[in-house]
Amino acid sequence: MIRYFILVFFLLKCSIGDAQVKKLKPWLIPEMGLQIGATEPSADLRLQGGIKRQNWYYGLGTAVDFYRFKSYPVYLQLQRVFSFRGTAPFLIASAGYNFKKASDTVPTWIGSRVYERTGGYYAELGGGFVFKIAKKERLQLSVVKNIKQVKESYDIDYWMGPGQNRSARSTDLYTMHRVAVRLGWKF
Amino acid sequence: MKHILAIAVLIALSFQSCLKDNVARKTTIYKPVYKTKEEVKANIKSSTPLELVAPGKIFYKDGFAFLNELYKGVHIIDIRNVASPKNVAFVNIPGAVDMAVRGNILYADMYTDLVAVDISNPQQVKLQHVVTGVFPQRYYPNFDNDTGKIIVDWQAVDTVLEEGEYFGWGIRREDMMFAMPATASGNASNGTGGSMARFGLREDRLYTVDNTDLKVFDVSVPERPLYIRNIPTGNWGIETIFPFGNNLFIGSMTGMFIFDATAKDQPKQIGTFTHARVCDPVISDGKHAFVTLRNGTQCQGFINQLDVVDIADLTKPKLLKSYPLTNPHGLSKVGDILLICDGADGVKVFNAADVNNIRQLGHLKGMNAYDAIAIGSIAMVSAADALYLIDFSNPAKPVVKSSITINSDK
Repeated sequence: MIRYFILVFFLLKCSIGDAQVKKLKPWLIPEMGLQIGATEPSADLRLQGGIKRQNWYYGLGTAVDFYRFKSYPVYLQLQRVFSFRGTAPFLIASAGYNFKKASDTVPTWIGSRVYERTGGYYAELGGGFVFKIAKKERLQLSVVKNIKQVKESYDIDYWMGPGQNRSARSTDLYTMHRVAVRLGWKF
Repeated sequence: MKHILAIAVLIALSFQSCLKDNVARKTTIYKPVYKTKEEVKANIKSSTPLELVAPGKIFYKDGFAFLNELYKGVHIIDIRNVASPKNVAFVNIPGAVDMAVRGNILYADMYTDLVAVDISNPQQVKLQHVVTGVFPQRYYPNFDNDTGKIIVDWQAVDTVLEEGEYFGWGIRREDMMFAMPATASGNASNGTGGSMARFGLREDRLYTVDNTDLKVFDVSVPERPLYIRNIPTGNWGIETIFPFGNNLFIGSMTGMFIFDATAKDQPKQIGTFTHARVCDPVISDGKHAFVTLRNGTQCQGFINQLDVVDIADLTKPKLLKSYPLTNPHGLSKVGDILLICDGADGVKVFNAADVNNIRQLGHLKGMNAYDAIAIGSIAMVSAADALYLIDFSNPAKPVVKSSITINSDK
């Protein structure tokens, strides 16, 4: 995880000098993607926007991520595009927080169990290609490795025999490593 | 374009090896503390009276109250002076949950075994006999396959486990079938149990129930109980047994079952009264059976009531009438007076002379009552905070004569 933050930091640092002296342009990109991980594949929908300075895109994004636990990542994003002629490759990195706040009551044999869920970190690193489709419009295809965390807390009741029950608070921290294939419309 | 898509797919596939969902669990697990059977047997003896910490079932015999301390043993309490009960001794019996007393012999379960302990002198009890392996449902196969060892305690351990590791030593309650407490006997020479008992004495036989089965022990030589047989009832969720007359009334989560114990070594089921899935201790006065139904974590269901069942024809028990209650547990009946432990709503005293018109006479609030044994006009009531001795000679105004406090913080 730390490497994602370090990478985003250095990309920001080395690009910020250019941005200070040259013209800034806004950009926006809605994206939809397929998240492939250890469990059933699912979708995510994202919206990112920010400013562009030459080949650097600085942005803030938010998403609805349906993989395993529906959650809402909010993240900073940095993208470096290597060319603007026709099809151009790019690298992308994001880091932020995966928001999740929910509680589920799940029936069990003896009653029910309440699961309380909160979020954790969110990060991604990858690359792709940008295809020019109009003067100021592009399609963006990306493949990224990404991670999200969800924390789940609940009480486990242990039965040691008649009349002897004990309860323990348990917390499961899920760290989900996925690959996302995404298509976005950049303008 | 095709090349680009191919590259994208290749990149995605290259990540395959690191696609995983890690789960780190931070929890408390319970580790059993074992002793060998020999060590445990050597420790079955009297100790000085101990504080009541986690009491279970109650039993009465000849002026003494026997109160189970869950999984630890049995408190012996002299209640001959109702105004001033005296905790006289504690009998160490690890694993004890149920008990009964015949003559001077205390029977209790020690996990999978039945022990017979001479209590003629409560300060110096003597282990008389152990019938081994008769309660196999009390064996914990998840823990240690050495049946020569006994779990005497549980140690809490905070730990972090990765997914795939064995998540905990305790048994998660929702993962298993089980049952609850009970006791009873209508025979004075045998002592009297509460309505929540799983041990019941009738003449010279000790009957015990577990989740599914009825077991018969010959206690004609009290200090040397002899295991006779196991009788599968064909039912599950069995909780209590109440011997009365020639019959055994067995309460389960799904109904009441009546067994004819005329052939005392071979009781046969002759009648069934079914109800919704709830917990239900049962007692009988020979003409009627009184069944309290309650909901709760273990009991499920949504019913809290007293059912009065006509058992004139034991083969066809019929519901006569139901009376709503708050969260009824144990009950006891003396003459026309019916006492019901109504959970957090305390103890209620009813006139049950006319079963079609049972009227509440008195109500003692301020205790979370679990089980009761009525002896004459005195009721011994186990509650969450104390063992109470209640005088209900004036049924309209039951009064607490004395109590022994439970120190549940220990």
